[in-house]
Amino acid sequence: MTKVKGNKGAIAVCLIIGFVLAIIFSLISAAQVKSTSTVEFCNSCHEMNPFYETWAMGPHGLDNKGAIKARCVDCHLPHDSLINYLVTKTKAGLHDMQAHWMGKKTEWLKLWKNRGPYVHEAYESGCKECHKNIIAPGIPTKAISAHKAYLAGQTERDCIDCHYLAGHGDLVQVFRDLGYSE
Amino acid sequence: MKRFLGKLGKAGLAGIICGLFAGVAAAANTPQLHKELVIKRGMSPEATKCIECHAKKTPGIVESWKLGKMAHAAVSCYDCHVVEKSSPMASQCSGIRGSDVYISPMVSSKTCSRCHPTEVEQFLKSGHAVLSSKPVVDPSKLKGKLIKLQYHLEGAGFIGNKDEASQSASRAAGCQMCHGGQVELGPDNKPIKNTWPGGVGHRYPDGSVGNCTVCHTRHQFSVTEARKPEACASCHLGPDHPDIEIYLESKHGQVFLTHGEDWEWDSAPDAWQPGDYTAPTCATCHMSGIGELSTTHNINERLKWDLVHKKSVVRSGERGDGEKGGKLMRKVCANCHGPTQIAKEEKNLEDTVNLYNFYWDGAVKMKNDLAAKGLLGKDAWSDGFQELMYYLWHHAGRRARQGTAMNGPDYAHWHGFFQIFQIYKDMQAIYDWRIKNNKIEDMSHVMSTGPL
Repeated sequence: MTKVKGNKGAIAVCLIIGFVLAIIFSLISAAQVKSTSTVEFCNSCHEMNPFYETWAMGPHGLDNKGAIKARCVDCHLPHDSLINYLVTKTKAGLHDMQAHWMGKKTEWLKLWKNRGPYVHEAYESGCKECHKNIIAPGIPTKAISAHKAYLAGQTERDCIDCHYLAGHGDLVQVFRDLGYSE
Repeated sequence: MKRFLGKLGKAGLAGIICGLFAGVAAAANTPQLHKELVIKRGMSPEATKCIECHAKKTPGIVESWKLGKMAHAAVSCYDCHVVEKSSPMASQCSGIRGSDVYISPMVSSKTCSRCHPTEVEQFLKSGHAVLSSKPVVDPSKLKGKLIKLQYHLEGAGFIGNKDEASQSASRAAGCQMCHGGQVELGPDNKPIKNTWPGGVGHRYPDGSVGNCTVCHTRHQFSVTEARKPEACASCHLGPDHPDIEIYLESKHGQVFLTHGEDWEWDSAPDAWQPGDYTAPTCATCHMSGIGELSTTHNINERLKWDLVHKKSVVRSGERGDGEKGGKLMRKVCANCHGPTQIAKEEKNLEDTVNLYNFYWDGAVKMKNDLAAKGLLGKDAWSDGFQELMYYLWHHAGRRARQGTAMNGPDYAHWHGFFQIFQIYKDMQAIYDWRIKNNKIEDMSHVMSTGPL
């Protein structure tokens, strides 16, 4: 009987310790998720500099060219579910960290110049987080026809297929101007 | 007499002066193109600049644009012609040189798809896109025989023409303008070697395919124009696919020619229905929203049979879904016809296909036999049997099949089966002669494409 009581106590202690540990782990994780979601963090690796610069000058950047500012993670991570967001963030983070430490060279211009504008590395669910009403008053007539087809599910194209310059402008030209090898 | 002559002289002088005034007055009253055009409604300063400059430099373009729906929707030169600096087609006209604005005179379906995504997606799945320009640009098609036909045969390479420019003249003026070709660029990113403009399946340096302005011609982009049979007629005519001739001969065409001027041509897509017209045009049956069917820019969607190639089969794969297509076309017909007539037309076409295929199978059997015996000329274009076989399917065979499908009796019969049986008999005669003599005749019997 005493033995059972002792066991119960041990289980309760373990549960409490586990709970506290889980809370600490969650808080640390949440803090990490937050601290690794800033634009500055992404740009702390030099590989990301051209993307930072082009973003800063673009419609979502620092120059107040558009109505909405967006951070890297707002577009380059999926926003359809929390789990998908965290899993993708972890995978992408590990990939980028490894690439950085291994000194992996990416031929950005070669990679981008032959790719159609329809191939991109951003998630449409990110656009929708902010751009809720895409036939809002004041939108140009020419955009309405495309957006209505999109809302009616009559096109296979997504936001970025048309607005492929919205994030970083004409990246291929930027790489050329920077003297990247063709 | 002198006085009379003097009077005559004065009167003449007065007449000349009056005439001059009248001439000047008439010139002053002649309507001028509005070369000064200032439009600011809903447009950026850059867009306005294009319009104002081109109203002076190329007034024909701006005059056409301003009458169309694009201008009403404030879609201007800038929206369709601007490209990013890195685009392979990026160039600058004198008006924007030195600025950070880049344009291209070449505008493909990709540009149109920015506002009309549904229409362009349907179009890209159709035979009007990649499949259309395949015979002109793809060396893998028929093992390069078609490319050779364009440069070596039509371009007179076979009789020693080595001038590259004139070798491709027929290709650029003919094949490319209906089928589409491939744009080649010079160092200034402008098209060279007559490779632009091109027809419906034209291929552009940025990888995009298709030219919407073939039917909705620039710069008015009129839906009315695309609904009229004239739009299709610019390519679907002539001895190998006289579709406009067949249509105009049909009862549909007869009603169009009689009453078409009174029809309503400009109704909204899907809402252009019987009543706006009293007979269909090409667009009505093959594309337009009618009854329960919605508009489609995939012209293969409502087709059952392949009536274009050597043997007619129910469409499948990249050429469409024939079984589904047949059902859709029946729904089109049902807007104006009862089931008895629809069934008759369907059966008549099926019987026609079977009849044509019977001829074709017989021709193939003879050809295989000759090939097995070494009695087939190496150059098909100097071999009477093979030349006739070409006309059998490509000209007379298509006329018979398409003439039946679209109710042109003269094309189904006189230009169709009446000629098919004669071509076949001539092929039989050559076949028999070669088998009997075990050799190929010295000279082709087929001298001219005229009568075929």
